[in-house]
Amino acid sequence: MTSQVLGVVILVATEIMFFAGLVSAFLIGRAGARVWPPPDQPRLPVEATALNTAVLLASGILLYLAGRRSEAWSRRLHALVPWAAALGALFVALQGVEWVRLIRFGLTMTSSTYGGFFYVVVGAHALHVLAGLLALLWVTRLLHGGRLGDGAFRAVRIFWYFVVGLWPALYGLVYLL
Amino acid sequence: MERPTRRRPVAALSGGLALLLGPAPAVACSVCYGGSEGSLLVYFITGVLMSVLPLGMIAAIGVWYLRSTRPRRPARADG
Repeated sequence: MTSQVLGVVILVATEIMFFAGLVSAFLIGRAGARVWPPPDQPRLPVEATALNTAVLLASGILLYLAGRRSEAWSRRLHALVPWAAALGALFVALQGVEWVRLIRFGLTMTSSTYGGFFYVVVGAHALHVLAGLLALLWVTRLLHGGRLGDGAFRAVRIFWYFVVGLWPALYGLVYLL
Repeated sequence: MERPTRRRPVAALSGGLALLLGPAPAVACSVCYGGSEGSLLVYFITGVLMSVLPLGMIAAIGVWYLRSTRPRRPARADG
Protein backbone atom coordinates (compact mmCIF):
# COMPACT_ATOMS: atom_id res chain seq x y z
CA MET A 1 0.00 0.00 0.00
CA THR A 2 1.45 3.35 -1.01
CA SER A 3 1.19 6.48 1.14
CA GLN A 4 -1.11 8.00 -1.52
CA VAL A 5 -3.55 5.12 -1.17
CA LEU A 6 -3.41 5.16 2.63
CA GLY A 7 -3.98 8.93 2.64
CA VAL A 8 -7.04 8.63 0.41
CA VAL A 9 -8.42 5.74 2.48
CA ILE A 10 -8.19 7.90 5.62
CA LEU A 11 -9.75 10.82 3.71
CA VAL A 12 -12.62 8.60 2.54
CA ALA A 13 -13.16 7.39 6.12
CA THR A 14 -13.54 10.98 7.32
CA GLU A 15 -15.84 11.74 4.38
CA ILE A 16 -18.01 8.75 5.31
CA MET A 17 -18.37 10.21 8.82
CA PHE A 18 -19.20 13.62 7.32
CA PHE A 19 -21.97 12.18 5.15
CA ALA A 20 -23.19 9.95 7.99
CA GLY A 21 -23.65 13.11 10.05
CA LEU A 22 -25.54 14.82 7.23
CA VAL A 23 -27.75 11.77 6.65
CA SER A 24 -28.42 11.46 10.39
CA ALA A 25 -29.52 15.09 10.57
CA PHE A 26 -31.68 14.60 7.47
CA LEU A 27 -33.36 11.47 8.88
CA ILE A 28 -34.03 13.06 12.29
CA GLY A 29 -35.43 16.18 10.64
CA ARG A 30 -37.58 14.08 8.33
CA ALA A 31 -38.88 11.89 11.16
CA GLY A 32 -39.88 15.00 13.13
CA ALA A 33 -41.87 16.48 10.24
CA ARG A 34 -45.61 15.84 10.11
CA VAL A 35 -45.75 15.80 6.29
CA TRP A 36 -42.74 14.98 4.11
CA PRO A 37 -42.11 16.44 1.63
CA PRO A 38 -43.98 19.65 2.57
CA PRO A 39 -47.09 20.06 0.40
CA ASP A 40 -46.16 23.58 -0.75
CA GLN A 41 -42.75 22.52 -2.05
CA PRO A 42 -41.99 21.19 -5.57
CA ARG A 43 -41.39 17.46 -6.00
CA LEU A 44 -37.91 16.24 -6.85
CA PRO A 45 -37.34 14.86 -10.38
CA VAL A 46 -37.06 11.17 -9.47
CA GLU A 47 -36.91 9.73 -13.01
CA ALA A 48 -34.43 12.23 -14.43
CA THR A 49 -32.14 11.74 -11.45
CA ALA A 50 -32.41 7.95 -11.80
CA LEU A 51 -31.04 8.37 -15.32
CA ASN A 52 -28.33 10.64 -13.96
CA THR A 53 -27.50 7.99 -11.34
CA ALA A 54 -26.99 5.50 -14.16
CA VAL A 55 -24.59 7.97 -15.82
CA LEU A 56 -22.49 8.21 -12.66
CA LEU A 57 -22.52 4.44 -12.14
CA ALA A 58 -21.36 3.98 -15.75
CA SER A 59 -18.51 6.37 -15.01
CA GLY A 60 -17.49 4.23 -12.02
CA ILE A 61 -17.64 1.04 -14.11
CA LEU A 62 -15.44 2.62 -16.80
CA LEU A 63 -12.86 3.61 -14.22
CA TYR A 64 -12.97 0.12 -12.73
CA LEU A 65 -12.28 -1.36 -16.17
CA ALA A 66 -9.47 1.17 -16.64
CA GLY A 67 -8.01 0.07 -13.30
CA ARG A 68 -8.14 -3.58 -14.29
CA ARG A 69 -6.31 -2.79 -17.51
CA SER A 70 -3.72 -0.60 -15.84
CA GLU A 71 -1.36 -3.47 -15.26
CA ALA A 72 -1.10 -4.11 -18.95
CA TRP A 73 -1.01 -0.35 -19.75
CA SER A 74 -3.02 -1.02 -22.84
CA ARG A 75 -4.04 1.76 -25.20
CA ARG A 76 -7.66 1.35 -24.14
CA LEU A 77 -6.76 2.67 -20.70
CA HIS A 78 -6.01 6.04 -22.28
CA ALA A 79 -9.53 6.14 -23.68
CA LEU A 80 -11.41 4.84 -20.63
CA VAL A 81 -10.23 7.42 -18.07
CA PRO A 82 -11.32 10.48 -20.09
CA TRP A 83 -14.67 8.80 -20.77
CA ALA A 84 -15.14 8.19 -17.04
CA ALA A 85 -14.34 11.86 -16.42
CA ALA A 86 -16.72 12.95 -19.18
CA LEU A 87 -19.58 10.93 -17.66
CA GLY A 88 -18.81 12.46 -14.25
CA ALA A 89 -18.93 15.93 -15.81
CA LEU A 90 -22.25 15.04 -17.47
CA PHE A 91 -23.62 14.02 -14.06
CA VAL A 92 -22.65 17.37 -12.53
CA ALA A 93 -24.06 19.28 -15.51
CA LEU A 94 -27.41 17.44 -15.31
CA GLN A 95 -27.51 18.07 -11.55
CA GLY A 96 -26.94 21.76 -12.26
CA VAL A 97 -29.82 21.83 -14.75
CA GLU A 98 -32.01 20.10 -12.18
CA TRP A 99 -31.07 22.62 -9.48
CA VAL A 100 -31.87 25.59 -11.74
CA ARG A 101 -35.33 24.14 -12.44
CA LEU A 102 -35.97 23.44 -8.75
CA ILE A 103 -34.93 26.97 -7.77
CA ARG A 104 -37.29 28.37 -10.44
CA PHE A 105 -40.09 26.24 -8.97
CA GLY A 106 -39.41 27.72 -5.53
CA LEU A 107 -37.24 25.11 -3.79
CA THR A 108 -34.37 27.06 -2.23
CA MET A 109 -32.09 26.68 0.77
CA THR A 110 -34.36 28.93 2.82
CA SER A 111 -37.77 27.91 1.45
CA SER A 112 -38.10 25.04 3.95
CA THR A 113 -36.17 22.46 5.96
CA TYR A 114 -36.79 20.15 3.00
CA GLY A 115 -34.99 22.53 0.65
CA GLY A 116 -32.20 23.16 3.13
CA PHE A 117 -31.49 19.46 3.58
CA PHE A 118 -31.75 18.79 -0.15
CA TYR A 119 -29.19 21.41 -1.16
CA VAL A 120 -26.79 20.64 1.68
CA VAL A 121 -26.76 16.85 1.20
CA VAL A 122 -26.85 16.81 -2.61
CA GLY A 123 -24.61 19.87 -2.85
CA ALA A 124 -21.97 18.32 -0.60
CA HIS A 125 -21.94 15.28 -2.87
CA ALA A 126 -21.73 17.46 -5.99
CA LEU A 127 -18.67 19.22 -4.53
CA HIS A 128 -17.05 15.82 -4.01
CA VAL A 129 -17.83 14.86 -7.60
CA LEU A 130 -16.15 18.09 -8.75
CA ALA A 131 -13.08 17.28 -6.65
CA GLY A 132 -13.03 13.77 -8.12
CA LEU A 133 -13.33 15.21 -11.61
CA LEU A 134 -10.31 17.43 -11.04
CA ALA A 135 -8.40 14.36 -9.85
CA LEU A 136 -9.49 12.40 -12.94
CA LEU A 137 -8.37 15.24 -15.23
CA TRP A 138 -5.02 15.27 -13.43
CA VAL A 139 -4.74 11.50 -13.93
CA THR A 140 -5.63 11.88 -17.62
CA ARG A 141 -2.90 14.47 -18.04
CA LEU A 142 -0.31 12.27 -16.32
CA LEU A 143 -1.45 9.28 -18.34
CA HIS A 144 -0.93 11.01 -21.67
CA GLY A 145 2.43 12.26 -20.52
CA GLY A 146 3.42 8.73 -19.51
CA ARG A 147 4.08 9.85 -15.92
CA LEU A 148 1.18 8.19 -14.10
CA GLY A 149 2.24 6.10 -11.13
CA ASP A 150 0.23 3.12 -9.95
CA GLY A 151 -0.25 4.56 -6.43
CA ALA A 152 -1.68 7.85 -7.68
CA PHE A 153 -4.02 6.11 -10.10
CA ARG A 154 -5.23 3.71 -7.41
CA ALA A 155 -5.76 6.58 -4.93
CA VAL A 156 -7.88 8.54 -7.43
CA ARG A 157 -9.86 5.41 -8.26
CA ILE A 158 -10.65 4.79 -4.57
CA PHE A 159 -11.94 8.34 -4.19
CA TRP A 160 -14.05 8.06 -7.34
CA TYR A 161 -15.51 4.69 -6.22
CA PHE A 162 -16.50 6.39 -2.95
CA VAL A 163 -18.18 9.27 -4.80
CA VAL A 164 -19.97 6.89 -7.18
CA GLY A 165 -20.94 4.37 -4.50
CA LEU A 166 -22.29 7.02 -2.14
CA TRP A 167 -24.67 8.56 -4.67
CA PRO A 168 -27.23 5.69 -4.95
CA ALA A 169 -27.55 5.72 -1.14
CA LEU A 170 -28.12 9.49 -1.11
CA TYR A 171 -30.51 9.23 -4.06
CA GLY A 172 -32.55 6.59 -2.23
CA LEU A 173 -32.66 8.61 0.98
CA VAL A 174 -33.35 12.06 -0.46
CA TYR A 175 -35.40 11.29 -3.57
CA LEU A 176 -37.18 8.02 -2.86
CA LEU A 177 -37.65 7.70 0.93
CA MET B 1 -5.78 25.30 62.33
CA GLU B 2 -6.98 22.92 59.59
CA ARG B 3 -4.91 22.73 56.48
CA PRO B 4 -6.73 23.91 53.33
CA THR B 5 -5.54 20.88 51.31
CA ARG B 6 -7.94 18.60 53.24
CA ARG B 7 -10.90 20.49 51.87
CA ARG B 8 -9.86 19.97 48.27
CA PRO B 9 -11.30 16.42 47.82
CA VAL B 10 -14.63 17.55 49.30
CA ALA B 11 -14.69 20.58 47.05
CA ALA B 12 -13.76 18.49 44.02
CA LEU B 13 -16.43 15.91 44.85
CA SER B 14 -19.05 18.60 45.35
CA GLY B 15 -18.06 20.26 42.10
CA GLY B 16 -18.15 16.93 40.24
CA LEU B 17 -21.59 16.10 41.61
CA ALA B 18 -22.85 19.55 40.67
CA LEU B 19 -21.54 19.07 37.12
CA LEU B 20 -23.18 15.64 36.87
CA LEU B 21 -26.53 16.54 38.39
CA GLY B 22 -26.81 20.16 37.31
CA PRO B 23 -27.38 19.69 33.58
CA ALA B 24 -30.14 17.11 34.12
CA PRO B 25 -33.01 19.66 34.09
CA ALA B 26 -31.60 21.18 30.90
CA VAL B 27 -32.48 18.27 28.58
CA ALA B 28 -34.67 20.50 26.48
CA CYS B 29 -33.49 19.74 22.94
CA SER B 30 -36.61 19.78 20.77
CA VAL B 31 -35.40 16.81 18.73
CA CYS B 32 -33.80 14.60 21.39
CA TYR B 33 -36.36 15.02 24.15
CA GLY B 34 -39.32 16.95 22.81
CA GLY B 35 -39.87 15.23 19.48
CA SER B 36 -42.25 12.54 18.37
CA GLU B 37 -41.74 8.83 19.03
CA GLY B 38 -40.55 8.38 15.47
CA SER B 39 -37.86 11.03 15.72
CA LEU B 40 -36.70 9.60 19.06
CA LEU B 41 -36.26 6.18 17.46
CA VAL B 42 -34.38 7.65 14.48
CA TYR B 43 -32.26 9.71 16.87
CA PHE B 44 -31.36 6.53 18.76
CA ILE B 45 -30.58 4.51 15.63
CA THR B 46 -28.44 7.24 14.05
CA GLY B 47 -26.70 7.76 17.39
CA VAL B 48 -25.74 4.09 17.49
CA LEU B 49 -24.68 4.22 13.83
CA MET B 50 -22.50 7.29 14.36
CA SER B 51 -20.88 5.63 17.37
CA VAL B 52 -20.16 2.29 15.70
CA LEU B 53 -19.21 3.56 12.22
CA PRO B 54 -15.79 5.08 13.08
CA LEU B 55 -14.77 2.01 15.07
CA GLY B 56 -15.82 -0.25 12.21
CA MET B 57 -13.91 1.83 9.68
CA ILE B 58 -10.76 1.89 11.81
CA ALA B 59 -10.98 -1.89 12.16
CA ALA B 60 -11.56 -2.32 8.41
CA ILE B 61 -8.61 -0.05 7.52
CA GLY B 62 -6.43 -1.95 10.00
CA VAL B 63 -7.35 -5.35 8.56
CA TRP B 64 -6.85 -4.07 5.01
CA TYR B 65 -3.47 -2.58 5.88
CA LEU B 66 -2.30 -5.79 7.59
CA ARG B 67 -3.42 -7.89 4.62
CA SER B 68 -1.74 -5.62 2.11
CA THR B 69 1.56 -5.57 3.98
CA ARG B 70 1.62 -9.29 4.81
CA PRO B 71 4.44 -11.00 2.92
CA ARG B 72 3.17 -13.36 0.25
CA ARG B 73 4.00 -17.04 0.50
CA PRO B 74 6.45 -18.22 -2.12
CA ALA B 75 4.87 -20.38 -4.80
CA ARG B 76 5.36 -24.09 -4.23
CA ALA B 77 7.46 -25.79 -6.79
CA ASP B 78 5.58 -29.00 -7.53
CA GLY B 79 7.58 -31.74 -9.19
